[in-house]
Amino acid sequence: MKVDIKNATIKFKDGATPTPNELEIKVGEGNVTFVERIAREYALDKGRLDTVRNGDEAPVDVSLEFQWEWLKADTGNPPTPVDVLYRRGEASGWVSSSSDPCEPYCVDIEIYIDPDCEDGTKAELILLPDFRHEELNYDLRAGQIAVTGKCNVTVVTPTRIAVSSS
Amino acid sequence: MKISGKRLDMPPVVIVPVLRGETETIFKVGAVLDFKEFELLCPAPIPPMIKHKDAAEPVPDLKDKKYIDACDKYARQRSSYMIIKSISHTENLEWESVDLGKPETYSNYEKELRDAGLNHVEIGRLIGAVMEANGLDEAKIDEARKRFLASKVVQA
Repeated sequence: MKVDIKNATIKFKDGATPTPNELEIKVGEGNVTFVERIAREYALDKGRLDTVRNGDEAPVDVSLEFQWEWLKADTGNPPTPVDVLYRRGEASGWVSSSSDPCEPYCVDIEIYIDPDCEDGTKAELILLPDFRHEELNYDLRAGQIAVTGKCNVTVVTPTRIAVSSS
Repeated sequence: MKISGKRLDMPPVVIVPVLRGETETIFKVGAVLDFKEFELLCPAPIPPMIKHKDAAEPVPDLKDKKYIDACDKYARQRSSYMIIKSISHTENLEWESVDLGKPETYSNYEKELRDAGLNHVEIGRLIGAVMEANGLDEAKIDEARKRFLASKVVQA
């Protein structure tokens, strides 16, 4: 399956209950990448490979780089993606998605990809929970923003879903 | 408001008898005069706001799928509420699984009517009476409209 970013929407969601605040972003140009790292420690026995152990856990690295086509929010003026990441402006009332109130503010990111296949069964929802940005790059000429950061999980959660349930 | 110095009469209660041999059960179907109770429990859905990259201001997104689904659900629940409330004019009627305070139970009304022993035709007649009691009987409205227009032609 070829994934075209133009068929993707990105959602930033906060931890408000029962109805989270959401910002839906239709991506025009750009890319989303994420890296799951699993550290392994290979133990040697007299210079020869012997056994393998898991190393320390590592958070998922996330990189978003996009131009948006539209922004959508359930109520009022949609906040900008940057406002959501900084919890300011229209997103000043957002609640951290982390269950630990002592941790820095974070949001969940959902990437919904509908490849528009005829059978309608190939849509996928990728959940990147508890994302905290670490770097924001603004490209004024391209009109793009690039965000990098980490999710406080070791793996992301992809789910195949029916197209209509987006 | 008054028309020709008079207020409108209260909508009449429509009587629907259900016969079982020698026994007859009378359903009384009345109009729902306001939906305040319902609106408190189920506020009308609000469309999300969408801002396109070249637009100065966001606009309501009336094509949003979640909003359309919410409108469908709202309309179904409102219609069920009207039916349940209208039929509830019947004396000694007790709903078992329908609770007007819990909108998620509204859709049980049809099953309850079936379980109570009403057949499809009788349920249809009750729903028809609900429409009539609430002034939604299109055939009667059409007849009244024709009578009014005919009287204007006669006067002319």
